[in-house]
Amino acid sequence: MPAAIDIDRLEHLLAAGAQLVEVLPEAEYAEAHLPGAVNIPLKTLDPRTTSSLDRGIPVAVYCHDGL
Amino acid sequence: MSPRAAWRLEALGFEHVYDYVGGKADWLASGRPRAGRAAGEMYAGDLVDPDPPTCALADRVSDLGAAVPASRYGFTLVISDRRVLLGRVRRSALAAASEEARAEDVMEPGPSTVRYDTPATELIERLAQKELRTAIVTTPTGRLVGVFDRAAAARRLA
Repeated sequence: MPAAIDIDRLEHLLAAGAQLVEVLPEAEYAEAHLPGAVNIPLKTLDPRTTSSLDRGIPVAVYCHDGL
Repeated sequence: MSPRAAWRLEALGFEHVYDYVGGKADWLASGRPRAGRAAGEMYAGDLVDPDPPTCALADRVSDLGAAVPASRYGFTLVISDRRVLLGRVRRSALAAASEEARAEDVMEPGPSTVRYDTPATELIERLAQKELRTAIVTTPTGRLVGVFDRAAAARRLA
């Protein structure tokens, strides 16, 4: 079950090597995103688009405000 | 959106999935580093005075007497020990206060604030329209970032 986390926990995970994915559309990602995040829009999440991610390493996702 | 993405990733075989529910809005408003086209845009939080006059709830008015008149903003900000903004003591409030009064007794509670990631140029215009000189910038958790001085910010952007 995915765990909801806050900013402090996110920073801890990133420092430990977690992967970070922004799931907003490409234009919003291009405008501003968190350093180190890759962009995989929600509508495109599938085995192919996530193939570059490591399934054994923690991955954190975010959008604009969680909604 | 991110909860659905998190569940989708788990269904795709990812073992440890986390949903940063505050999202980009929370991150940018906290003043942390940003990337992308907007990274070069100045935010309100980038231009604040990070060390404005502050005091604690229990500080006596007699002790504030020197600090507030000396403040170029005409006020001191009341903060908690974790730097959460609690109120503002204006110079005008001190004149009528007794020496024994504390900051809590004379402060204006819950002053208006703006978020770190408010575009600086937009905030300068908003303040000018309202004939205000300053704005207080806080994080989403209420911590004081600093005081945005309209004139000083405009000079830095010129």
